[in-house]
Amino acid sequence: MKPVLSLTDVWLRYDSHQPWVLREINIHIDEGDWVTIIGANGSGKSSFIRLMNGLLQPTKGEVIVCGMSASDPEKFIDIRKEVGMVFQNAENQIVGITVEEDTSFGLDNLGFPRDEIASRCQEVWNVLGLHDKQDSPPHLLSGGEKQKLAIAGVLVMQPRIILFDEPASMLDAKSAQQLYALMADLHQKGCTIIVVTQEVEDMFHGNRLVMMHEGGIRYDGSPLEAVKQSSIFQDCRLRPPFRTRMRDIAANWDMESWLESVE
Amino acid sequence: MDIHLERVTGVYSPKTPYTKTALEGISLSIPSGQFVAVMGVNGSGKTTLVQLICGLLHAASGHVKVGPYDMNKKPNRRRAWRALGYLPQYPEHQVTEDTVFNHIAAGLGHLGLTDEGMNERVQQYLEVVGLCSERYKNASPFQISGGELRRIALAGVLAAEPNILVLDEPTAGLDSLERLYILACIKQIHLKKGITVCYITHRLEEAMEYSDRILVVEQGRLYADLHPSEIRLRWRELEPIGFVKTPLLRFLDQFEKRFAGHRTQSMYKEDQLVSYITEMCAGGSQDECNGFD
Repeated sequence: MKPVLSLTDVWLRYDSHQPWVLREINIHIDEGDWVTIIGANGSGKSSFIRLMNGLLQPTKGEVIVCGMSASDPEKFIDIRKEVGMVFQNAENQIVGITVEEDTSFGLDNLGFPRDEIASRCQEVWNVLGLHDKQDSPPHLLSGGEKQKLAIAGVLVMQPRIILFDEPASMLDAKSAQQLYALMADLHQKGCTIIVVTQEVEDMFHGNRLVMMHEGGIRYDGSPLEAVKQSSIFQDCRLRPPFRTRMRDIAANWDMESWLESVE
Repeated sequence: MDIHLERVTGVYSPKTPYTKTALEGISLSIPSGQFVAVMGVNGSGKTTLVQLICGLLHAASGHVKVGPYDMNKKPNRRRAWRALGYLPQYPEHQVTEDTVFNHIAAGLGHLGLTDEGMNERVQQYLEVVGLCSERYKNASPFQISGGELRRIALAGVLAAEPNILVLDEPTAGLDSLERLYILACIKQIHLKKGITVCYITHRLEEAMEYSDRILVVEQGRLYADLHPSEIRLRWRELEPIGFVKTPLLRFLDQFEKRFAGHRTQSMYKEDQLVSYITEMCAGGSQDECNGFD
């Protein structure tokens, strides 16, 4: 399968006097993948995903998004139609004075016809459960609803890839669970999902896990394989997930098979 | 210093069209030296509750008492503030000083310390939060990592040596090791100096691991007030208001399903589970262990 997103020997620094923020990044992501990116504070996760929609340009190397080079200024608009991004703090991407205005902002700017905008908005609100809020001003929404509104603005653009930058960090447990259910739904419909998170436990949602450390990729593979190796987490200065911690205990007593039976 | 709340109501923008009652009829006491976690969904009133305790918001009705001070009266609030340390959410958004030293010292002006005393105090608390004073004191707060900045904000609050420490999501936005570190610092100070800690968190895992008591706020009311060991017993009450089981709780459920008769009902910390398993296997009951396979 042709990768929908590929980074080849990518290096990034913000200034030639500064150390490299990302080094030797090679990754090819297939259409329909769900990739979870974890790493300690400052490991380069956020810079990494900002390369994927052209928000940042690599210092060296090549980024290809849906067959287009992310360094080609003429492709910027086309790339952003294909790649949506949900920021950590939803309030940073809310621009409209009502839910309706905010949701339609992107389509309005691209000059979509009125009825097309209306039908796409309606569809997205139905999926997200915002249909009765369309006239509400965003500042009166709860944290979880604001997050949904930010996602609505991204979904109406019908992107092939959605990047999430720590989407659950401001949410309570229930809203976070609902958000992941929504992401699973989008994934089911064929969207490629890329999530950066601080929550190691969230890695089990995806089919692929990328662990970053000091600007490089330390692990790229199945989350279920990573669970068996607590040393990778320690190398990346992360606390291993609960399952891995329990495995380590069980291993002292040759009880892995027992543990698997409980899991 | 004990904290008492008696039928407290918290209202934002009273007597305007935007008026909103965020808390209603809250009565509770927090005895000196307790480690209390405040939980609840977004918008339930957690921050309002801790801000009322700190005297940053004034009760629309009812009484908030911190030690001997009734917080409804202004001169009392000033006295109580000497005993209170408050760390707001995302403290790194409000850095105003040019160096780490000045940032920590900014909150200590009222203590009347000499220059030397101030130096010592700042150095001492930088070390409490695990940062080398020589390396950090002249650094700019804008050139250090988010986790370090959070520790510095915590050092600033601790340096005033409060009797009551109030924290609004002190670990939000930090990575897993940094979270453990910050909480370990807080727990250590709590145990060493016997100070009261009242902290807001969305993480049930943390609340169970570190606190002696969990207050659950729901739609402006005190919904539950429980010890972490009661979480499993009272799960039916907590689930409908948005509590989600932690990996440990899910594991214990499955453990009990698989091995009926094992006494894990009262467990709520990972250590307890680990020592249970270790004891069982190390305690010579090899048969029992074999039975697991």
